[in-house]
Formats: sequence, C-alpha cells, structure tokens
Amino acid sequence: MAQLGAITLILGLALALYSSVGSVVGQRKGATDLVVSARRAAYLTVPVAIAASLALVAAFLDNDFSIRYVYDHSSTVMDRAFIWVAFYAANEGSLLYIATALALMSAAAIYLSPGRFGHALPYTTAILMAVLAFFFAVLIFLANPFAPLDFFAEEGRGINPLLRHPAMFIHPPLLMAGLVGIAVPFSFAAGSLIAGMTKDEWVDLARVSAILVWAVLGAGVLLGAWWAYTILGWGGYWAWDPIENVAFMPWLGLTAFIHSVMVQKRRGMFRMWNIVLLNVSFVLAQFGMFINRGGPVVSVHSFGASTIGMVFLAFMLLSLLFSFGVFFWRYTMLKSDRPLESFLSREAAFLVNNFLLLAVVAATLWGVLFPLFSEFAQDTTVTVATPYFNRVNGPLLLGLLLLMGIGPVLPWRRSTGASLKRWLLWPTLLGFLTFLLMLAVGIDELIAIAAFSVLVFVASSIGQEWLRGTMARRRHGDNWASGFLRHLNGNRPRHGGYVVHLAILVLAFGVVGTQFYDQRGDAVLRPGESFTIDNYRIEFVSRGSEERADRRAQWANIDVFDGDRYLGRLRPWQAFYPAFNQVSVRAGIRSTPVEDLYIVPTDFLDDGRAVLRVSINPLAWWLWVAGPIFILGTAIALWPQPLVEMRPAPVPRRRPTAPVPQTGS
Amino acid sequence: MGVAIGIVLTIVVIAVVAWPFVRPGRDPKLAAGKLSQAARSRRAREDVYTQIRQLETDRRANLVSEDEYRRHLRELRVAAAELMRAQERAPRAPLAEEELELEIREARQQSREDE
Repeated sequence: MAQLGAITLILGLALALYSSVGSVVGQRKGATDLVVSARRAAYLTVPVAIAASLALVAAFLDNDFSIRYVYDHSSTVMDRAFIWVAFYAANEGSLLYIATALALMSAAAIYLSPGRFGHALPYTTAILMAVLAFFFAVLIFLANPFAPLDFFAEEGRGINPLLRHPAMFIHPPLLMAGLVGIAVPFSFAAGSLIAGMTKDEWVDLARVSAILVWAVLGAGVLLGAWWAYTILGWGGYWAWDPIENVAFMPWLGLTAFIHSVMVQKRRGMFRMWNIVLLNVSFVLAQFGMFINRGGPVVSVHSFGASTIGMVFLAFMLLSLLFSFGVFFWRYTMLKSDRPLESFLSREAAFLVNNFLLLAVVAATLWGVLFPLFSEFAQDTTVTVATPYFNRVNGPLLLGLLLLMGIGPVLPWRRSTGASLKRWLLWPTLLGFLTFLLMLAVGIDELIAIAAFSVLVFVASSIGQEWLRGTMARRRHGDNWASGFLRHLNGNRPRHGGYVVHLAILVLAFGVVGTQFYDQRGDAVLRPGESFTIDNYRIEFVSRGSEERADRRAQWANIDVFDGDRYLGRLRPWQAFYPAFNQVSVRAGIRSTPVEDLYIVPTDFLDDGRAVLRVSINPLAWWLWVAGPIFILGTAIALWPQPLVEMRPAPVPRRRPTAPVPQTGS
Repeated sequence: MGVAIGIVLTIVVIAVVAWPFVRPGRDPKLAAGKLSQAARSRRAREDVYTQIRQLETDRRANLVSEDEYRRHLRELRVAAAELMRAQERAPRAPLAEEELELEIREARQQSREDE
C-alpha cells in the first residue's frame, strides 16, 4: 500500500498544480478546453486524495509496521475503532486528512458554483488548487505518511493515550476541516476580484460557504473543550492555550464576516471591509496551521516540534502578500453604494460588533505572539497566562454579548428614539431587575452579576421579538405553536441567527458559572473515609486495577452523597502507558443543569490511599448544551428559502361605464 | 497490487483530463453564465421580492414601525422597477424554437445547394 500511497500523492500534486496553472492560463488566453480540463483535474484530486487516504487506512488495518507512521501510531492491541483517530494522530496523517478534506470541499464549491460566477471560477479554482498543491508538496517532501521504517518491528508503539477519547473521533477532523475550509469563501472573493467582478457577485457564495465552515470550526472548538474537560483532569475546558487560540481567532474573524456581509448583501456597503475580514480569517487559519504544525509554541493540542513549521510560516506570509495584494490591486473598485447614514442603525451595530470581534482577535494574537517576541528580543520566554486573556477579552466579550441584544432590533439606515424605546425598554428593565434581584439575594461577584443581567437582557430582546411575531400570527388565526413556527419560517436567516445567539447565551451562562463560582478541594483518603465539599460528601469505597498489554489502569470507586441522600457511584480512573511514559486520566463527573461534581484521581499511594482532586463546576452542563443549539441555528439560517415569484396584483376588471355626454361646442 | 492500482488510476486521470482537448466543446459553466443573463436579472428581482416579503412579515409582527415600513418598501419597489426596466432594455435571447427553426432552414438550404 505504501507504493499506492506514494503514487497517489505525486498524482495529487501534479493534478493540483496543473489545475491551478491551467485555470489561469486558459482563462487569460481564452482557451476554453484548457479551463475545462483544469477544472476536471480539480475534481480528480478528490478520488486521488481518497485513494491515498484508503492506502493509509489499509496499512493500519494490515498492521503494516514497515511504514513509520503506522508503527508510530498503532499497535496490534489497539482497538480497531481508533484507526480513524490514529490516521490523523500526527503531522503526516493529519496533513493527508486536510488535503482530502480540502479536495472534497474545493470540488463541491467548484461544482455547485452557479453559471453566473463562471468568469471568476477559473481564478477561484486556481487559488484552491494552489493551496491543495502546497499540502500535497508538504506530504511528499516533508511529512510523508508512507515513509518506510528503517528497522524491522513486529509491534507498533500504539496510539497516544490522550487521543483515546470519543471526542477525538470528531474534534480534530472538524477543527482541521474548518481551518482549511476558510480557503473556500476566501477563494470565491479573491477569484471574483481578480476577474474584475468587484460588486456583490461573490457575496452569496462566500456567505453560505463561510457559515458552513464557521459552524464546522465552532463545533470543533467546542468538542475540543469537552475533550479537555474530561481527559486532561484539571477541571477546566479552556485555558487560552496557543492552539486553542489559533483555532478561535479565525472563527472570530469569520463571525465578523458573516455579520458584516449581510450589510453588503442588503445595503451594498462594507465591500472593502468584507474582503479584509476574509483575508484576515484566511491568513489567521494559515497562522493556526503554522503554530499547530511544529510551530514555536508548545501545547497539549499541537503535533509537537518539527521542521515543517517554518514551511507553514512561509506559506502564511505568501497568503498574506497574495490576499492583500489582490485587495490593493482592486481597492479603487470596491466602493460602497452608499455611506453610513446614522450610528443608530443596524449597519453601525454590525460595524461595532466587527470592531469588538477584531479587538478580541488582536488581544489574543498578542498573547500568542508575545512569548515569541520576548524570546527573540531578550532570550527569555515569558508565558502569557489565562489572567491576561480573561482581563482583556472578558470585557470585550461582554460588550459583544450586550450588542447581541441591541443590534438585531435596530432598523437599517437609521433608528428613531420611539423605535429604540419600543424595543429596548422591556429587555433593559428585565436586565436591571435581574441585577437587583441577584444583589438582593446576596450573590457575590459583581462582574458575574453584570454578565447574568446582560444574558437576561439579550434573551428577553430575542424573546420579545418572537413573542410579538407569534402574537401577530395569532391575530391572523394561527395557534401559538404554528404561529411561532410560521414566524420563524418568514425569515429563516434572521431567526436562525437568533437561535445561534441563544446558543452563545447558553454557552456564556456556563462560562460565567464555571469561571466565577467554582470550588476546588484535594483529599487523601483511605477506603471507607469520606471528604466533604459544599453539600457533597464523597466516600472513597475501594480501588481497582487492571493490567493490559499497553497500560496499567487504576480506578477509585466513589460513592457520592448529598447530606445523607445517596446520589450514585463514580469511577474516575487513571492509566499509565509505558510506551509513551505518560499518564492519562478520565474524570468521574456527576453532571446536572445546576452543577458538575468533578473528581480526578491524581495518585494511588502504595499504602492503599487515593489522592483525589475534587471540584464543583456550577452550570458546566450548559456549555455542552450550547453545541446542538448552535448547529440547529446554523441549519435554520442556511435552510433554503423557497423561491416564490411575486406576481403583479391582478388588475380589477373595469365596469363598462356610461358614455360621458360631450359638452361644449 | 498497489502499484497496479496506481498505474490504472494514473491512466484514468490522464484520460479524463485530456478528454476536453480530444473533443473540444463549450465550457458548461461559462455557457450557463452566458445563458443566464435573463436568469441573473430574474434572480436579482427574486431577491428584492424576498426582501419585500420579509418586510411584510416584519410589519405584520409589528417589528417595524409604519414609517420604516413605508420607507423600506419604497426603496425596494424602486429597486424592483429598475431591475424590470433593465430586463426590458436587455436584448432578448433567441428562444429555443427560433434557434431550431433557424437550424432547419439552414439545413434545407444546404441540401438544396447540394442537389
């Protein structure tokens, strides 16, 4: 299978290069045959990339340890289901996955693009295939997954223990597909500019593809948080780790774009700005790949140090030059149809939303880059830790949340005082009431109370719009349910957006709860002893252990009580993997909508005692509920609106009128 | 086995990529783009109509004031009227029947000349 893999990689590179060059030359020279042939080459990268991937999967299934990558990431005792995870467990396989995903997304984008985009399509194809050619070239020359092992091995090393988690089946594929997928909306915009189509020809294509990629990337980030929560054993889910940040930043850039592009679609404004946002998102995605692929920072999520980081840095710089080069070339043709009329308008709210999102991106980027600058300038590495990110980004994110309640109720162009009062009075009152109530019942942490009040303000702003819409439908004979559904159906992009906003509120609810009100404690217990934290009593009943070919696992049987009421048994465990000299833990979690009880065994002592780290994470359950709501909202927003041709109203038949008597001379 | 599959795949790939040079024809994507001058205009109009429908929905739900509604509606109506005027001014593409008629006429003339 190694030979098939090698052949397909070379074939993939040849096809991508031919498609990229052929598309541009064919379009410039007016050679239709060359353009069509180049497009076919782009389609063919899909079966070729899939064949390469299948060759690697077959090597895993055969336990073909003559291939270094298979030797490094699998073993005969490994659960076969984890072959899918082992496939992208390191640079080589993950790059092959990325190439396959990009080939698929590119082919779909090219195939589904409408005829009216035909003149720009060769340039879009050329950009997508140039990116794909880069990945194939790296696979062939720097990170070949089919490279042979230079010694004989009967058994492989096995899969990294940290990857043995259900989230690993979806989290890395979504994240990688999301990052590389940003090339699709970017290529639609850049291709359109190169072709001289500088109005709004690319807007629908870029918007839909950007929302899809944004949803995939967002789901990937959230699943990564869930993975970190259950397997890393520190009780948290987001640590502003560099790898988390480099996935989060392009997502923020895309968030800004999918809001701001609506202004271009509806009002013909922000043309330059939208191109800039797509360029920034695309370059940030390349930056993410650079940091992730053996870049200069270390993270639990990265693929480890390697030499290909510098190649990705060079590609990122090239992407930066290209994207902004095209932008400045067409700069003068990217004028808005009309100016911003008022700062009390939806357009202005979108602009402020964009600035806040980019401010979060800038602060996060600075936090990621600062250690590198300090090392370069002073030869000492300064770590930028969570408090910096929380202090800088916290208020900005709170401002964004607040804007989610104001922006959508503002009309386009300009707003009036009466309109603002009508829409914001009740949400503001409810927000204040929440603030006062929380103070009155003695809840501490002023910032958290302010955040909860903002959440209530935004939720009631959305609820108010839905309520008014449904009531209007009821006046036309609908019941509550059908009225609500018909109201949502009336403008799916907008109401889908509201559902996504609700998902963000739910997520923020969980974040505020876990960040401000968590409790932690450590205990060293003998069997039969118990430990009390808040209202929980935790009793260490017994311990168990198991020897396997690749690990030694130990677990604690723990009974949990609320006072004297028995709540259930948890079995957190930890395992030592000698091949990796690494310990992996799995937390015991009792999750309810109110709070999570989270127990991790940090050590099992020789005298039979267990060292436990216990934490109570209020509202953590809501973090994971946000995911399905987020996907639901995206699906509603993207669901095609039925096209109903509006016909002119029938002209009423005129009654024959009696002839008007002629008067005069 | 792997090498054999690789060689077959390479041959298939070369054949598929080279085919447009062997049997040149129109670019289906560009052809669709050219044909859709009218479709483009229709699409733009549908876009405006969708916005009008959404505006009506918002008005029914009291989401826009009467002033805002009237102002937006006027803008959208003007946009729709401009699109319709542009469509009327654009040269009409030959209908399929007319193209067929033309081809038959040319074929007949050709056969007469041959005779």
